[in-house]
Formats: sequence, C-alpha cells, structure tokens
Amino acid sequence: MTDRLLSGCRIIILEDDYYQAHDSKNTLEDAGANVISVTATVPDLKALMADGRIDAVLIDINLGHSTSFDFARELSRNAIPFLFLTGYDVGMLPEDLVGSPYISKPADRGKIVAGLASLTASQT
Amino acid sequence: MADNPHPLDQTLFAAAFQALPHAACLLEPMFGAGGAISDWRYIAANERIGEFIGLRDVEGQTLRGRWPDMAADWMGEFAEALATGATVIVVRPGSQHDKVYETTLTPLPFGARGAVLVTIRDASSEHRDREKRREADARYKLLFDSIDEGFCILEVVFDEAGQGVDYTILEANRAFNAQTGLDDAVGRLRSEFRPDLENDWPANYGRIALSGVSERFERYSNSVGRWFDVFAFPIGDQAPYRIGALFEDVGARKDMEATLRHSENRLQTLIEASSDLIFRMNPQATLMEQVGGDSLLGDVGEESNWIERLVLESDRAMVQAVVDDAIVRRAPFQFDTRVRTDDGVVRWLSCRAIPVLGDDGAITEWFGMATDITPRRSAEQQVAHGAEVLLLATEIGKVAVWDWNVETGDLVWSDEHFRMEGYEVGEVVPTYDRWAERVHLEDREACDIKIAAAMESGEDYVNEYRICPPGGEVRWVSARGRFLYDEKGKPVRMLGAMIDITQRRREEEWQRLLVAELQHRVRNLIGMVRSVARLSAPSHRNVDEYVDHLIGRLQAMGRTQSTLTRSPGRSVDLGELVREELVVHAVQPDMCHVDGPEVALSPHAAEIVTLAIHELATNSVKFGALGDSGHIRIVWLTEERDGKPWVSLRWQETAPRGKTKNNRKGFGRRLIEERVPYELDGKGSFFVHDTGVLVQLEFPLSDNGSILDSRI
Repeated sequence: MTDRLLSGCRIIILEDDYYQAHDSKNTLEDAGANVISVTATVPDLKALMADGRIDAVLIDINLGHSTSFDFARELSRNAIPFLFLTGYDVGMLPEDLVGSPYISKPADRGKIVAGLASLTASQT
Repeated sequence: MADNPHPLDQTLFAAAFQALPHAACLLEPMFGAGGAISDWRYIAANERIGEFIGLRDVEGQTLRGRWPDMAADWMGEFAEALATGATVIVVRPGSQHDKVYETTLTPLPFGARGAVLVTIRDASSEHRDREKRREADARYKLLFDSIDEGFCILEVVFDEAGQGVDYTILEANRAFNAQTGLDDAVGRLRSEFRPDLENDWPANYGRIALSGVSERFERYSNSVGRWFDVFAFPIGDQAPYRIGALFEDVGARKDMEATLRHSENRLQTLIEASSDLIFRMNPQATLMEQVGGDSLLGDVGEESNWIERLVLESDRAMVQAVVDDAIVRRAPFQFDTRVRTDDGVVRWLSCRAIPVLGDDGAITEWFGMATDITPRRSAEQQVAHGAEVLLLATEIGKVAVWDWNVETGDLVWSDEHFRMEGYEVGEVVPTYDRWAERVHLEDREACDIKIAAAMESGEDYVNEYRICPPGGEVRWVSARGRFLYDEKGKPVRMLGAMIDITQRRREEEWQRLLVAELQHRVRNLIGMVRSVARLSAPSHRNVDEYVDHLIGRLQAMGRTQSTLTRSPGRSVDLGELVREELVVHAVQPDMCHVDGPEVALSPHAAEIVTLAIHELATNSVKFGALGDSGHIRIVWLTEERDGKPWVSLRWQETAPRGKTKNNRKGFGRRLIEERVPYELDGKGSFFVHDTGVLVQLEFPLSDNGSILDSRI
C-alpha cells in the first residue's frame, strides 16, 4: 500500500471484531491515515470531536448486541462522512440510510481505502 | 119622474119584479153635457136587494149619490152592458168581509134611454171552492213535476181483437220528458211522436188496463237506447182505458250491475285458479270452510274445526293465541304453521285472514287465504343449516368473519372475530370504530386507505396488519374482504374473513433473520480467517509449521461454530468447553485439574475462550507443562462486580524445569491481552514464569451474542 491516499486523514473505526478492527487499522495506517480511535462500541462522538477534526468513520453495522444505525445518523447530523463495512446484506439498511456508502465484508483492503478516500475527497 | 105616468109598483110587472128570487134593481142612464152618461138613476129596487145590501127607498137616488166610494168602479161595466146589449157578469168582493158577489148587468132596450137590470147573488161559497181546487191543482202539478221518476197518464187505443196497439199521452211530468227524451208528447198518439217504439209497449199497457192489475217491469228500449224500470197501474176499470205509468231510467244501475257481475266472475275465476286456499270462517274463527283455490288440505269443503283437525299439536297454542288476539282486536291476523294434511304429510302454511264487520262493528265472518310455503321453508332451513355449517367451519378453522352493513353501519362479528380482537364473545357491540381502535397505530392509516380503495374499485380488500388487544400480545392478522353493491353501484355491504398469522409472521421474520445472520457469520468468518492467517504469518519461518498452526486455529474456530450450530441461540457451558478442548489436545486427565462452577457463556465469549484454550494448550504442548511431565490447573469462579456477574478463569502451568522463555507477543497472547478486552469488555493477562505460564481471563457475563441470539 504505497499509495498514501488517506494521508493525514483523521479516521475513526467502529468495529466489534478485534481481528477485523486490527486489520482495518493497519490498512488505513498503511494508506497514511491517522486512526484516532478504534472501538467495539459506539463512542462518545462529542468527546472525539472536541479532540480534533474527524474526516471519516468506518462503521460495522453489527456491534454484537446492537446496531450502529443511530451512530450513523448522528454522524450525518454532524456532516461527518462514513462508510459501512458489514457482513450484512445491503437490504438490512433502514429506509433513511439507504444509499449510504457501503462495502460488503470480506472486503479488499484497496476497496476500503478507495471508499474512504472518495469520502474525504468529496469533503474538501 | 115626469116621464113615468104609472108608478112601477102599481103594475103586474112591478109585482113580478118584486117577486124575483134574486136581489134586483133597475137603473137608467143620466146624460150630462155633451151627451155622455154622467150617472145612473135608480128606477126601482125589489125587497130582496133591500135585505141583501140594505138598498131601500131608492127613488130619486143616483148611483154616485148612493155609493160615492164605489160608483166609479161600476160606471164602465154599466156603460158596456148598455152599449153592447150583452149581459155583463162581474164577480167582486163585497164591502163586507169574506163576501163575494156575482153581479149580472142585463141591458134592457126600453125607450130612448134604455135601462139596466142589476141582479146580485152571493157567490162566496162557490168562489172559495174554486180557490181550493185551484190550489190543489197547483200542488198536484208541483208534486207531479218534482218527483224524480217520470210519470205519465195515457189512454190506450185497442184494435178489434182487444189488443193495445197505440196510446195517447194525456199528461206527463218534467221527469218524464227528461227521461224519455219526449218533449212534446202530451196530447199526441204514440204512433205519431214515436213511430219506431217497440209494439210491446202498447200491448203491455193494454193488458194492464184490461186486467186491472198493476205491473212492474224492466225493459230496454232500443229506440230510446235506455233501460227503464216501469210501474204501470190502471186508472178506472172501464173505457176509456187509462194507465198511469212511473218511469225510472235505470241505465246507470244496469251498467253497474253488469260491471259488478263481470268483476265477480273474474274474482271467482281468480279464486278458482289460485294456488292458495281461500277460506271463510265463523266469527269465533273455529269453523273453516273452503270457498275456493287449491285444496291444499284435502277436503275442507264443509265447515270444520280446523285448529284441532289440521294444526300440529306443537303449533296449536301459538295459532290459538294469534287468532284469539285478532278476535279481540277485530283486526287481521297472520301466522305460519305446520299442518298435517289428510294424507298425513306435514306441510308449512302461511295463513292470513281479515274480519268482515257488520254495521254494529261486530265480526260477522272471516275471510282469508292460506299459502303452502313448504318449499320456501325448507329452502330457508337449508340456508340456515348451510350457514350453521359454514360458521362452525370458520370457528374450527379459527377464521374471524365479519359482515358490515355500509349504509346503516351495523357490523356483525363471528365469535372468533371477538376473540381475535381480544374481546369476550358478545362483550361489545361491533362497530367500525371498535375495530379501528384495536388496529396498531402504525397500521391504522394504511387500513383505512385499503378499505376505501376496495370500496371504490370493487376489487377485493387484502390486508395484513397488527391488532393490539389491551394488555395482550400484538397479533398479526391477514384479512380479505369484498364489497357488495346495489344496482346503482352504491356499496351496501362488506363481507370478509380474517386469520391470525402471528406465527407465520414470526417464522418469516425468523427466517429472514437466519438468512441475514448466516450471511453475516459466513462473511465475518472469512474476514476472521483472513485476519487470523495474516496474524499467524509473522511467527513462522517454516511454511509447514505455519500451516499446522493455521489449521489448528481454524479447527478450534470450527469447533465453536459446530457447538453453536448444534444449539443455536443457546449458551455454552464453560466447563464442558474447557474439557472438550483439552481432550482435542490429548491432555491426559492426570495432568490437569479442571474446576469451577457451572457458567453459561454467550456464543461470542465461547468462541474466544475456545480459541484461547486452544492457543494455550498448543503452546503448552510445544513449550510448557504438557510437553513434559508438568501439570496444569484450570480453575474459574464467578463474582459480582458493579452489579454484573463476572467470570474469572485462571490457567496455571507447573513444569519441572524451565523451558525456553517466549516473551514474544504471539497470536495467543494477543488474543488474551487484546481481543478479550476489546470484544468482551474484560481483562486478560499473560505471564511467563520460570515454572510456566500463568494466564488470567476475566470478563462480564453479558448477553453479548449476535442479534440472532438475542431474539426469542
């Protein structure tokens, strides 16, 4: 991963699976991203935002005992772009989130990076 | 008087004059200037006139002088009698009351002047008689003309054989003229004014006149074009033979009779042709007589006590009550009853009867009809039976049925409908609103829209929605209905059925979740395999060794999966899991001590713990106690931390001699130290002592399963 597509991007990972989270973190860091938080449960967004800019969030839908839809909505309200990375089918998305950027597991590392890069690119 | 040398009373004529039976006097004219008669002078008056009107000693008196008030009235008549030479008779009331005198003025051509003999007679009684007769005549004429019936008096003309051949109308009243159309018949022969009249009219009158017996007959006259009712009676019993005849034009009555007869004929035909039984009954309604129609009951021709004879025992009381009530009220009655006919067959009859009331308001008889309604009744029973079967079937099939009268808003629910809505059967009166208030709030609008659309389009109403009985479980139902319309296309009714599909819905939902979960797990698994493969790589220089490790890890993961799949959604016992994992690594029972309470692990925790034990056992075989004559102690306990149950597991190896220290952060160690805190919200520690490895795993026993596990 020599293309440092996400260079300088501050990214949060919400993923309940340790290995997947670890993998994603490595992937994003290899692409030059600054992963500011990796968490298995929904984080306190306000606190994270207080710490600094958030360029994008990579989200798993299934958080074990809950889903991340409410968190995705919160991100929308705060105009923070996000990318779903999930083992579920696209049909699981609730109506108001249909059309959100979405990548199905297992995903190619390049695909994840490209997805997030397009999100941050459209931001600036 | 110088002109009369012989006084009258001295002559024979004077004597005769005096002896006249009538009151009499003689007067001669007196001429005035111009030769006109100016007065009359009395010459003589007999004694009778003196008695009669007090006229005495008249000599030298004049008419004007004697009767100054009345003389003028008489001057004209006296002059007339003298001038014409004809007798003048004057009838005048006298000066006395109620006396009428007849005065005769007889001119006497005697001498140059002439004279007038006056005789007076009392005509009072004659006059009164005549007056009376005139009044009677007038009254008779008035009566004659005022009667409605035509009346005439005629005189019959006979031929030689004594047969009446003609007649003359002598008198006729106004009604006669009007009824016969003969205006100018009086005084004429029938053959003149009505030559075309049938000859039997004079023949009849002749017969009546000769026989002297009055007759009454009805006769149609072609020539007049009318029906007459005639009463003819003879007047007198000898020639001339006269007949009095009273005529009445009975055309209208005749027409009415003809119409009535025609109508009666039709009615009778109708009664005879009727498939109903027409009957009459006595005022007490005990005896029945058939008057026409079908003989539904066999022979009921003669009067018979019908209730006892025909009506089935079980219906008798009802029939008697209805009839008794109608008799009291003098009003029509109606009832349906079963009767046994003469041939023993039981039939259903519908009976109706109305009372015929007399002038005093009492019932004189009953008229009625009975219709055989057996076919209708049995059809009704079949329908009722069919409906019963249908209802039972719907009850058995747990189908809720409704029938909604759109116009009145009346709604009928089957028993199951009540139950499905969470009501006791009959607990409430069903209405649209009652139904709607039980529909799940989120589904209510869609329900209303679908019903309105079905009503509008005529297509079947098909809907699935939720019912929320208060305090009960939310139920899913599937409903289908159809609107019925009148001939103008207006919706009048809606029929429908509904079944409970809660279970089906659950299963569908479950299936959907299963598929989604399966997809999720498979994808996650692949992702994890990739991660595991990548994480396993750095610690091995040797491919065979790497493959062994990788396969071992994948097998451990596979074991968890198979355990979970065997009992999906169930927890896994920690002790069982540990022992099974040790068996897989061929750890001898005397080399280990496993102890701890029963702990139910969530599938997620089980997966991690399995992999952790696998890693520890693999490492131990390779580097630690299990590779030597060492011993492993695996114990756990549960405790409460901050109100949550935690499990705390310790893996403690005791090896006789120290082996190569391996402080490198390998796969197993990361699992314990990083994955446990990350995924299980717990703590993991990994120490390598001289005597062996000491591992501590602590995590809360939360329901940390997948969506699938947390469901149902």
